[in-house]
Amino acid sequence: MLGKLVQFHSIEELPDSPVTKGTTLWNPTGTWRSVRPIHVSRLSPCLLGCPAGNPVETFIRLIEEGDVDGALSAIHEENPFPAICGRVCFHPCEDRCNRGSLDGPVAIHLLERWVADRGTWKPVPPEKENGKSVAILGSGPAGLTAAYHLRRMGYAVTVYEKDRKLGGLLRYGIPAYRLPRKVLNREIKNLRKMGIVFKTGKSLTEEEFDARGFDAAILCVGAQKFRDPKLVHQEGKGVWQALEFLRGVNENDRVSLQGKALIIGGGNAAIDAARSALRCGADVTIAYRRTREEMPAFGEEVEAAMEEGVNFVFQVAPQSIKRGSDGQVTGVGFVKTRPGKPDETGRRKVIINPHETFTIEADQVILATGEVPADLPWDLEIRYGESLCETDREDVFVAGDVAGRQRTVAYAIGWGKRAAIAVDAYLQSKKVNFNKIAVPGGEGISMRAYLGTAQIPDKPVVPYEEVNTYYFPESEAARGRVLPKQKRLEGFNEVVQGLASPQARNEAARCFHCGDCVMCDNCLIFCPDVAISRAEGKEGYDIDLDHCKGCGICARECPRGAIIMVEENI
Amino acid sequence: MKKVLMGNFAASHGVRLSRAQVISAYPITPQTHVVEELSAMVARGELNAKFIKVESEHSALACCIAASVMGARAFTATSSHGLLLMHELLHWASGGRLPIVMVAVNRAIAPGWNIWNEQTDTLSQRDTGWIQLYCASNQEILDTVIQAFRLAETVKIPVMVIYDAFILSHTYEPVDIPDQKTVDAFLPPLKNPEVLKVGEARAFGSVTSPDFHMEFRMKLHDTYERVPEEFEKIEQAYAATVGRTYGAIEPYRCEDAELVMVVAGSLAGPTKMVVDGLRQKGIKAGRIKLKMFRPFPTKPLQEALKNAKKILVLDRNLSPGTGGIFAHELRSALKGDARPVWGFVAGIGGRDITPELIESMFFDAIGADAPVSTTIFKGVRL
Repeated sequence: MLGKLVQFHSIEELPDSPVTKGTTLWNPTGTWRSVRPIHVSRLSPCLLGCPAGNPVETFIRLIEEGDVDGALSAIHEENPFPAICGRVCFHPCEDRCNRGSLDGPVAIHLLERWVADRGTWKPVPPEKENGKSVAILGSGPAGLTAAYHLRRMGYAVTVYEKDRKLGGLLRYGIPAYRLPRKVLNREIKNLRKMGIVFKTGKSLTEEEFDARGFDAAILCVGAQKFRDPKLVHQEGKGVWQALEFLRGVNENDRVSLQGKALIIGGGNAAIDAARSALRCGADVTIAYRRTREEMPAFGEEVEAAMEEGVNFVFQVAPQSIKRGSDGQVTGVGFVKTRPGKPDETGRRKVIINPHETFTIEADQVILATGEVPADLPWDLEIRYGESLCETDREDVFVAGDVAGRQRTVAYAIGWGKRAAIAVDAYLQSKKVNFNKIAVPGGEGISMRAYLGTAQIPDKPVVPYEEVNTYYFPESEAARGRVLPKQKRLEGFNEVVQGLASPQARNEAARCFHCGDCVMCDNCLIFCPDVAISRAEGKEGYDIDLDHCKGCGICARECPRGAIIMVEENI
Repeated sequence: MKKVLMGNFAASHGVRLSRAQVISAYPITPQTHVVEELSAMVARGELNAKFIKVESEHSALACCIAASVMGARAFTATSSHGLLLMHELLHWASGGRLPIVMVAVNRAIAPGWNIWNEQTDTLSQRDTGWIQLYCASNQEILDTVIQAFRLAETVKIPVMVIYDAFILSHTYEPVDIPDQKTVDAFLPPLKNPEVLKVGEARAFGSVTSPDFHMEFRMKLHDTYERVPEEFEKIEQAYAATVGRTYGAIEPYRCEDAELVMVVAGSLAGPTKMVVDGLRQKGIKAGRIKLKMFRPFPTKPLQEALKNAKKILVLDRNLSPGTGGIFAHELRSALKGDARPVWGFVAGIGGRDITPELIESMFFDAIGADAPVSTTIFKGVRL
């Protein structure tokens, strides 16, 4: 085993200490192994959090590599509207980001916005038309997203929008201080360049659909039906429904509001209405039945409203509109509430105390008490099947708020993609296993997985505990600069500004890249058996299993949980 | 240049003047200042060395071993539990014949948790193959560190420079700091041809079968035979350039002494004072300060003790079941000698050893023909 025996003839001849010029490669220590390391691609928590299925980790890696256009095109594989999502989405990806447990999540939304604003994209019609046509009703985020993906696949797509302008809730619901109109218009212009046909001020009946020979339709008519609180004296001047009010503001850019505006509700529409009313000149108060913590509105928005001077009254329930003898609104009558026991969803019920009544003065009342899905325009019922987009008719599908309970832009975008896949599968007679293309345990669905251009990692998500934070010195998350309060109230200028390029690059470098090997060479450096080497001619590493003892140091030292140890079959 | 320095800083200056190239250490009371000051010296550019931060003493010595294999002059410092954690690597360093120098500050070992002075930590590393030199003053610390590098590099055996926690480590004394030129003349840059070179792959400390292992150990032992002689040469060279010398042992008033006490470390001072006091009372007392413990200076000790009738050893350490370790070693060195040896153990866990207590040990020996037992604990509060 030790080769030729050497004979030393004196103590002087013997070296001071044992040294060899040979190697230990002859000793296949790999036979000692009971577990072996493998480099794997695992789910990152951000992907789990994104309802639109954005390839977050991938696009951040491309930013780090300096490839902004590549980053944009990676997002475009899944989501046509990073410029919109980067501004209006409430980034559930960041709620899941592992970095949140260290020093604050990566500002993914600001990176997405930076990519969209800085990257270049030249939209073009598909290389090949497939000869089939699809009609889409509604040009909100779900309808536009479905149109985009179908057009990319070669369909002739016509979008019918009953309003004068395109965008649905993006235009008539979301105020311009959150989504500047020039951004929205640019995104829609890009879709036109792809050859999507838009018909505004028009709807499409079921008969017209049949008569015009479309191969399929997607109904994306939203959820704009007012949930009526039915207050006493509600009918009449001075009382608005929130969406109606927002539409008025967004159509005319500015509505003059004098005096005191009282907003009833605690959701995002209430905050949008309140902040818009402030900009229209009103003195604004929000009255909500529950506590601040229970508000469905997103925290950052509530904070911004408070900063701008919106007053809040909590734990009050409206009873009646008070009107003067001339019929003008003078205030709203309330009773106090207190929290009761949690209901089956875990949310505490509201208990009304009918004896504690009081009035809040108001000149205008805006009811932001919620919306319910619109009635389908055709005589059809939704029949949730595997894609969650099916109706009674096999060639008609639904998407967006009309079909879903989670009503946000990112969900609508995810839903539009889902419907596009359902339509393609139906028209091309493809069998689709939606479980295989959905993010396991997450909300999103992957177009790349459907098209077979990329795979969703099938290995479990990387928890924070598996991130080796030793390699990530603490740093503060980037924040977009915000307009000073006075400037904000002058009009509808965008409040939050985007990142400067050096900021964006720094922020991208904060990403842990959970579960994705970025070729950092840490495993190679730490392997005590020098058993790991860069793979030749391809990305990744080779492991010399003749000498890997399975010690697991590589897996422990991997900063991002991209190496797992698996048991050997012995 | 004279400066008032604590013992730890005297060690730091010794390392700086020796131009150590790699320093790796983990902080532990009472050693911390040594490397704290060195890291500052590196940061200020006063010492051109690589300072490697580590997570344990085990790694600290591992770094020094690797640096030494690469041919760098390497230094570390530790104490007590830190030294015990290094135990395995102490063998790697000596077996690899790597000339590393370490400062070890004598501190008690837990339990109970105790940061005060006691010599058991270094003495329990007796058989690791390191040369051990005990110091009695801050000046001696500085000088010994510089000498230690030359000794280690001459015989290719690592050296521990040892001194007492707090009594020396944290106590300020005037220290003469030689200038760099003088030290450079005494200590040339380290040139070891047998180091790892880029492009010339070699494995150090490789497998040695029963066919070779014994010879390597024998060679190390044989080299130890040369150490006293080399140490003396180095001391002479140091005396010629810097002007100070200490000796492997330092006998004091031993020529005609009937009672001689043997001590190591900072006890050398107070015992000298006690001897002077006893001499004034007409008692023929003497003392020997033991600097070198490994290799054990048997011959000089036999020579210095030749006229003594009674021998006393004061140990601030304990090998439970055996007694004081210096006493044990001395008895072994004296072999069949019929003279009685009093083995006193005192000052364990940092308890003060006062001149009165030392004097009482002499009186114990004066009043008896032989010790009442092999080990006598002094200053016990029971």
